[in-house]
Amino acid sequence: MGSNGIQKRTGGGRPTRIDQDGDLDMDAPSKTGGRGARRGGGRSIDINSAPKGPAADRTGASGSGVTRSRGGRSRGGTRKGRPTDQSMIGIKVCGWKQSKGSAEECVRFLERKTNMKFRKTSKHGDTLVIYIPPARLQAVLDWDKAKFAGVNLRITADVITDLFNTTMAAATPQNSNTTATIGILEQVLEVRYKPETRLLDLSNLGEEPLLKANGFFELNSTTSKMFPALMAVADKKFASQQAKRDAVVSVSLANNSLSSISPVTTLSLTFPDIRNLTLEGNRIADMKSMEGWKNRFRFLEVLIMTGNPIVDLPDYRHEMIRRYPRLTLLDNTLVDRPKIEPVAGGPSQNPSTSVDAKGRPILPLPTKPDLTVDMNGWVMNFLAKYYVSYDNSKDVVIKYCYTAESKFSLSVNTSAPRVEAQQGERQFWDDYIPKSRNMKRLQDTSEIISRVAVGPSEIFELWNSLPAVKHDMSNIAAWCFDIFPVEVAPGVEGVFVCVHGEFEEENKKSGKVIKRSFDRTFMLHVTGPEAIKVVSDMLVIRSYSGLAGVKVESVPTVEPIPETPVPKYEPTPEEKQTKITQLAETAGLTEKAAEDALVHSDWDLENSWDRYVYCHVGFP
Amino acid sequence: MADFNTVATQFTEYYYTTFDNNRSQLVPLYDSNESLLTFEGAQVQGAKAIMEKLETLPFTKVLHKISTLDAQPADPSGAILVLVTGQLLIDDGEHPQSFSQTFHLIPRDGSYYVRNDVFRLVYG
Repeated sequence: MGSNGIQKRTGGGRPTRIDQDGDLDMDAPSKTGGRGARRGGGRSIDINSAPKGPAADRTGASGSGVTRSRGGRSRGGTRKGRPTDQSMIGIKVCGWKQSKGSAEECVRFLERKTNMKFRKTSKHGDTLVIYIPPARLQAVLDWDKAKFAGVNLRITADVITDLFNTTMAAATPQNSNTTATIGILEQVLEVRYKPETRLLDLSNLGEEPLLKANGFFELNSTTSKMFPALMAVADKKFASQQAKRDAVVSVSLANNSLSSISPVTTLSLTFPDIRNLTLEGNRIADMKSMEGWKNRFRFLEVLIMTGNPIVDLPDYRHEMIRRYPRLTLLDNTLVDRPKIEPVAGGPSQNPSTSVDAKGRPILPLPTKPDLTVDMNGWVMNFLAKYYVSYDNSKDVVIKYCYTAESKFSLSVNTSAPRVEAQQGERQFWDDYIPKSRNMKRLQDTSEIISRVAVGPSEIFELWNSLPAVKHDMSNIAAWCFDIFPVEVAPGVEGVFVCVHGEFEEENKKSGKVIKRSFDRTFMLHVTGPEAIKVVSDMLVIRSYSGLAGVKVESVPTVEPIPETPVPKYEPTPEEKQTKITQLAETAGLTEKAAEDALVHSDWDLENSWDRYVYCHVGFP
Repeated sequence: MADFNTVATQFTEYYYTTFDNNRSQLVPLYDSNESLLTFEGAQVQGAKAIMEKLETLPFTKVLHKISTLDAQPADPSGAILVLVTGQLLIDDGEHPQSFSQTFHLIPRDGSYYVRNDVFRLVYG
């Protein structure tokens, strides 16, 4: 399994190097190697290997009581010397005493509201103190004045760890102070910002006289902290999100010897809308090192990674194009997105508005938090073709995708919640009910058996008895995919596909067009990009539930991500350790604190780190 | 061997009752190495990791309300594919969450284990 960028931890006080080109050695060279074991349908994951290295420390530290965190960590100390009490901060909850509820009920109430589990709470007279990781501070503070058992709670964090200051302190060279650091970094930004081109040029910082002269590179530990501090200062420089958007369109981080983007992850929060980014001439070697910017920079059009080992990975271009859906130029080569062709002989007697002149759907590749362990994009391509042809010429789909062994069945979920606009509207399920194989409702055994269509002709017949529908895959935000390899039969490799989406139906009975949602599970036998056969095909049709996103009850989003809910991500123990180490390193935290933050951010590294930076009070 | 419809029906009934009452008891349904849980797009493999994931989901009380259940034989060896949709009531909350879950059941020693378990909360 490849690990990345964590070697310097074990190396101890390795001195900072400026290499022959004058580049600043930000980070230890990353071990190259693949992305680790592919997550497959069962057999190829090495998940049981124990976490390595500093994990031992971690276990030792856990179990100790948590106390209120305070800043003022001394610089330059060894990791073990750092206090463990940074892991949690105390939040005061008042007002519950006047309510009808107990302190315990109040805790449970807040746990429910914040969707968190509080590991430690204590009661001091009228005050209830809840200890939480700093990353979750805002999530709890958002419930200030929330109504609990007849009273309004007062939730305060009167001692907020000043994370901004911590970040600055960590970056500050010896014999200096944080105010000076902030000042210098502001100057750096001033010098490096080119208003005429709206470029923030942070390239070659190892050569930056302001940083060199002020001793920023004297200590290795300081060096790796400089970037986070610079990012934090950059965030302060512009008042509003709009100001940032207006001021900075391009960012250069070229030639900074970065082996991972983790020191600069927050760039994607400060400038989420930039269009041009260069990381040219760094040392990024694998996708993992870019993980923090996955699902970020939605508007990125130009990305330059030349001079990084990563460009030699076989999947590199494909993966980058997938991650940044608007990319038009990658490493000065035009992005050639896979063209979506209809199935051979395919439509289109009936082109919808969302297909191009040739009847192809205009399909941006999905960047939702889908799981797509796809084979070179074959399956996504297949699905795009599949739905166009399904809507227009089912015979073609049957001919090319279904075999004598293929099975299809459908169920109607009449009780699924629907969008407000359809509340009280009759849903006209009449065409589907007689075909529905919902065994929650259907009791007749012979019907249960007969409602699985087997082989091309039965499936074709069943499809033709259903109303005409239109799937619009160009509106990709309305779709969600889980795609990963599976053994479709012993020794037979294939792909598991779960699709959730929507379609429009020309309902004859009502004479109306009815929008509906669906869930569909396919098992595909894949032997090549043009040789994909459906083994199993199960469809659930339900009332249109809209795109409101998953309404997880009462969870305020600190940083709203517009289109989709963030998936829960559970890394392997090794990945966990890597993340813990990375976060500890970047945020200057103990491993225990980093682990806590990660656990509470569902192992989302940038989330943990972003919140460390963002949940702070202002300048001193 | 019982027919796949009966297996699917009994399996889902057992699975969701157990999940709602005591999640930790689900462990025998998963294989220690081969089972793969795809939960909201994130994958964990092996019974131990899967249980860790399920047991640390951020709610204490949960109730699955099943709306649809369909099953198909998945391969000649007797594997079964089960697709369930329904609603999830979390901690007595007011807004049920719609979910969709697919199980890929593999026969072994006269019983079945879950090879794949794909769960998604769906919009609603």
